[in-house]
Amino acid sequence: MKKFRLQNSGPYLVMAPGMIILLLFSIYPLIFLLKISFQDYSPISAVKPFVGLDNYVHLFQDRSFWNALRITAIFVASTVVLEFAIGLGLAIILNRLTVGQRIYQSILLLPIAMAPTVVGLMFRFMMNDQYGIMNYFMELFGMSRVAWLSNTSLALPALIFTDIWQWTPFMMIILLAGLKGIPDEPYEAANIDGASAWQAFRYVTIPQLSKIIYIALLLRTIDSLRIYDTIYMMTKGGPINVTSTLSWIVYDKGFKFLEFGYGAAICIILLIIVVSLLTFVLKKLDLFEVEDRP
Amino acid sequence: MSASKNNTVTVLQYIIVIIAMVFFIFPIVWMFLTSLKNQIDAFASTPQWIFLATLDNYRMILFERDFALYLLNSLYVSFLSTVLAIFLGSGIAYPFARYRLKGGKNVMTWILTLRIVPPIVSVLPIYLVFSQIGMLDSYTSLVLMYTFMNLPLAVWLLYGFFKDVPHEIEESALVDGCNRFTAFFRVIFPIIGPGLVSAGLLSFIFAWNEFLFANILSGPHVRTAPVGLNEYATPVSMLWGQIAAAGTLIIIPVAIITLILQRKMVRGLTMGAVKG
Repeated sequence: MKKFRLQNSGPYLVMAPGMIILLLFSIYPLIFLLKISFQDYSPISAVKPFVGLDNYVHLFQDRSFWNALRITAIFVASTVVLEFAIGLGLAIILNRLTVGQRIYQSILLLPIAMAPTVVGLMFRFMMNDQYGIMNYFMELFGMSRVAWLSNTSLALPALIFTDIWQWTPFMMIILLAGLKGIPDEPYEAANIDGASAWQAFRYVTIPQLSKIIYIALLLRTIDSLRIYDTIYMMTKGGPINVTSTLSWIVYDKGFKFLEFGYGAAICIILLIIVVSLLTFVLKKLDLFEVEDRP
Repeated sequence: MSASKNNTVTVLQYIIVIIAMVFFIFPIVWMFLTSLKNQIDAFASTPQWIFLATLDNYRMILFERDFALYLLNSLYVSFLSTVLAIFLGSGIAYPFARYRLKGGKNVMTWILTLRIVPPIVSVLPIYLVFSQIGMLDSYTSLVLMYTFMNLPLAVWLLYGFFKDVPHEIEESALVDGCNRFTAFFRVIFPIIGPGLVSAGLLSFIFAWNEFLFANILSGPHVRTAPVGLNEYATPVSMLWGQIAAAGTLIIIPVAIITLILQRKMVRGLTMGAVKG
């Protein structure tokens, strides 16, 4: 079976241009980032002295950093859990229905594919306290108008709500594809064995779906960690700093306060978090089907 | 008894699904309606369901402001970076799918992790590098950036598609006198054509919607639509009618693409891991 044995450098030549771009854009920024994280680096000043670990020391004493870490954790945990729970529930229902499959599929794909900037502005409009339609609906149900995005205790829930609107369909679509792939036989067997609906769900659906669930949760966690566009459009990290996630403070420190060195230190910490999450799941990455088949 | 109970459950399920669908479609419909309203109707505290529709907002942003130009910029940048990502991505995916290359699995996993690292960590260095070589506010910087961002997706999707093509087809092409290149373009290429198209359309969506890098790399000369959208959201006043019109124009191409792709989107959204 050595038919496809490597005889020349052909394959390497073909992949070279793409690999060069990947390497340039991933390795170089990383080295640069690491370097300036030890510097007092401002793009407008000529001297960029090395300050050792100052940025990192500052980071651990900086309350805005700890705040951002907390906000990010709350945001990621609540969006992923809620989207998964609602998404799975709706996917199970959708899987049973026979009418209108194409229609609801088309509807569900729209939020996923929309630019988060547009989504952010749209929800900011709908959440306005004077003319926002969400407040109109709330009044209909006997609640009073609230300024969602300028209220310190409501701004983060409002962002989470927006994220749920956009990304629950993502969970639904993926889980639905998984549900459709489960054969009938295990259910029939469970039925014969006298399993209840809950037992069939717990011992047939969940195990059969586990790979898909894992992928959906992994991808959603990764993307939830990146949240930036909607924050930019809806709250700009405010009011005060209740919606300042890690992504947001990197942008804020860098482009508002021009503290690139400090921003870089935050990025390095963010990278460490992501990489440790990764090594935690790296074994599971073969979910993405890398085969060694020649 | 049980039949009528089943009916109730079915009706209940349809009701839940309909409520959910209304919830997911409503903000989009509302944005579209707002884009057709004049300023007074858009700012009414009681929603105006029936109003005199006007195309003023579209006329304003397209002909009196620069939104048409931003849309063209977006189109140009997204199209070019998509073509590059698919082209370069095939170059990477094909050898890994067909040859037993040393460390192939590691390289593929590394490419996957590039999709996982949050883009914010490269914002500062990318901005500094492009500003040092004087490439801020240029098409090239955005095209390169989006090509890089879409490459992992393209590689992984195409890798899956190439794997799906049986060896035998290629072998017989080689026996019939094709060389590697002609075999690729004459035999493999037509087979994975649909795959290439769906990978390309997905890359296009991501580039089209991208904001983080567009915001820091673009300037007055090269402004993409999502960045231009922000122009109507000034601290002084929010021109909601125009924002809604611009938003509608941004999502129209993407909506068309999703309608074309339908279930194929699932494969793309999961880096090829779930085949819809």
